Amino acid sequence: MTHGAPFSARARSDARDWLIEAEEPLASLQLRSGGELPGVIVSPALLELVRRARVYGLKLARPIQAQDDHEQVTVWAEVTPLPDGGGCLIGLSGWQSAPLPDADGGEAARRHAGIARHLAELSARLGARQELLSVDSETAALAPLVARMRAGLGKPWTEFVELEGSAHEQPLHWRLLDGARLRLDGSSRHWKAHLVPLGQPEPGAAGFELHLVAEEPPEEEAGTVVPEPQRATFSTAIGREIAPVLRQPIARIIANAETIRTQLAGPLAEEYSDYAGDIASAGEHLLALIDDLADLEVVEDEQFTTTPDRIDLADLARRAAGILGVRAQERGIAIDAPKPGETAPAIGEFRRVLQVLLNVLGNAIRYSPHGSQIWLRAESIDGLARVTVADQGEGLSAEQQARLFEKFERLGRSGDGGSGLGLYISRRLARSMNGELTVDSAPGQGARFTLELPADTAGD
Amino acid sequence: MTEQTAESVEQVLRDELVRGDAVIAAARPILRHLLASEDSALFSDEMIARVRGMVLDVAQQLLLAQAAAAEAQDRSGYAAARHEALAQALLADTVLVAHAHALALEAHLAEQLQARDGIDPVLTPLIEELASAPAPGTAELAIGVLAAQARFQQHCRRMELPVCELPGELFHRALVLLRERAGAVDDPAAERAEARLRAAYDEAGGRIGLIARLATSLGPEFSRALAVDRAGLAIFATALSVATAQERDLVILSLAEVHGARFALSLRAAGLGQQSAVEQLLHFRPGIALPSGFERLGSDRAVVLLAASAPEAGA
Repeated sequence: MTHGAPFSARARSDARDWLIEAEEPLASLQLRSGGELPGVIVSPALLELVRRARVYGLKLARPIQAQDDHEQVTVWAEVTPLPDGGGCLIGLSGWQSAPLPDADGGEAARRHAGIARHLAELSARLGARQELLSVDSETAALAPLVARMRAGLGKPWTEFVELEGSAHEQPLHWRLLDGARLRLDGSSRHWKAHLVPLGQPEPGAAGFELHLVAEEPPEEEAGTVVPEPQRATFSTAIGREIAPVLRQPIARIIANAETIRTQLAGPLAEEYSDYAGDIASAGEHLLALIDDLADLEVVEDEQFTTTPDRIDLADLARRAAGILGVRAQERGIAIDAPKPGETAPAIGEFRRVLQVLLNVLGNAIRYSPHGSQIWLRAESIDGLARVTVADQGEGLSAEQQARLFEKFERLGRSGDGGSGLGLYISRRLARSMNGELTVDSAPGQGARFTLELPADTAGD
Repeated sequence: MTEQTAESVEQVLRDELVRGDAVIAAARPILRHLLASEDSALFSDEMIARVRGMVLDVAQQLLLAQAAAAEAQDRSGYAAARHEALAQALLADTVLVAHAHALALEAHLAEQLQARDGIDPVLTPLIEELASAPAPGTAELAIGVLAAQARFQQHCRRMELPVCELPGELFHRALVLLRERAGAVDDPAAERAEARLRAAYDEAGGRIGLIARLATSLGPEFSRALAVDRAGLAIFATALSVATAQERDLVILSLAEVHGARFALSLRAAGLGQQSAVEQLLHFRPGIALPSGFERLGSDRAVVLLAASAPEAGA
């Protein structure tokens, strides 16, 4: 009699019991469980079955169970070893995922969450995209970090921590981050992240609780970073209190205006759709302004410091060009970025340097004529690393150049989405990294903005 | 030198003494156990005889396969000459013996259920229903299970255990023992025989494989396999083993064991409610009373209790 099952998924393993090919839904299960493809088989039951079939040289077939996001997957697996001893063919059928007969996994998760809540020195509530909604910590050493996180509400929490050994694109699936080891600014201790998913039916649909638990007991690190009394002067009213309150309604206005503009909810006279477009872009301007004001507040604070790191200005210039490439294309502007392989090692904070470059390059795109070109050049000279952004715009007079870096300076322009804060913030940032942001221009000659930072000589 | 030899003789005797004393020490508890478990099916004379018969049958099949590969003229003579050595080795393999024991017990329990509750070991209501299911794969599978069950009951009555019905691990062990004990190391015929047996083996085609696939193919209706009166003993045992992640053989032993705690906990761990659990229990132990408060025991706790106490079924 025949028992050949119509397989719902086929896969192949190699002599190391790595999964080298897999159809859905096995491929997703492998990835969701934290595995890679190709990579070692993550499900212990399947790994055991494949290993036995390969070692014995026998066709084995059994129901196997695997855990997957609070669900128990039961599947019928038939494993056929390949004759040359290379690997195995895997056939899966009758795939069914069901919650456990009772919440036995749920019980373990509840205990896990309970322990994390008790031990956490920093707790945060995250939205469904792992963006920060609120942060709390009683640990003095983490106060500056908490302040920065509060100023950056709405951004992914992973931007504020240093994940150990992670080269993945951020943000990762929450399962991969749950239990991840990390380092925190201002603490010499090792930390572990615990994520508690909230909401149904998909865990995490309503966001997450984030708990950071230290692996070692607290030491005398409270005094080493920011002395307690000075912290009181660290005023971040906009970033901490106003910005988060404003961001949400504005984001809503933009989203709704976009819905109207794209006529998702039904056909509309063109002029109304255009008005909606205006509302959306005004909202975006407002959001950018809030970001600038929050940044302004941070860079003007006496406590503001950057974290020196070994960076490559050429690489950062390429990234900035990549990020703004679409916007430049829309305006018919070509960006000539440093060639791959060119380097200009420097000391600075990656995120802040990128912020400066995006600001300067963004300005260049905004004020350059259609069809023109923008050059990005990175070089290292005399202990300095420098990146230059040169455009073919109308250029700046000496008097304009003198006012350019002042707060709220708009050089008489209006209605173009600028806040007059970008270059002011950028120069403050450059200076906080022991560098400088300068401009060299003449009317009709275009403008050349140059960011200089200390070169990273140790790298050579 | 002589002194060393004398020492080594002493050592040999000392080792043998330890082993012999262990047998003597074990004799009394074993005897007491056998006498005390008079009414239990686990160690009845019939059960012991059936286990021995099945294991000897495995030895015979392996040797006949080897005789065929060696192109021996007198195959039964070839097998008979080697039978004693291989049978002894197989009987000494506790894992293999435990599996044969579980099978004998399963057949015995199935007959008991048929006599007492009218539960047919072969054609059960669930199989009947699935065999006429519109999905062609399911119907075919159900008919396959039906045929396999009929063969199984017949094999058990004849004290036979086809090697192709062994789980992969045991099949492998049996072949290793065949190679070691049947004087066939470096014998090309033996190697050919082993290669043929391995190539022909397919766990999915065996009775236990077919049942497991049928049970898992029930999908969201999996719980229907957890009713022995509807599904029959074979499917019920498989379903309970899948639902509680226990070995099927261990589940069958727990069905026959007098105290019934593992069975009761397994039912709970599989997610059965108080009423359904009692119904299932009563099929195997009419008149059993569950400890008071059993209904308050969560299925997660049942899983923990089961996992914390794992008898070494094979050792």
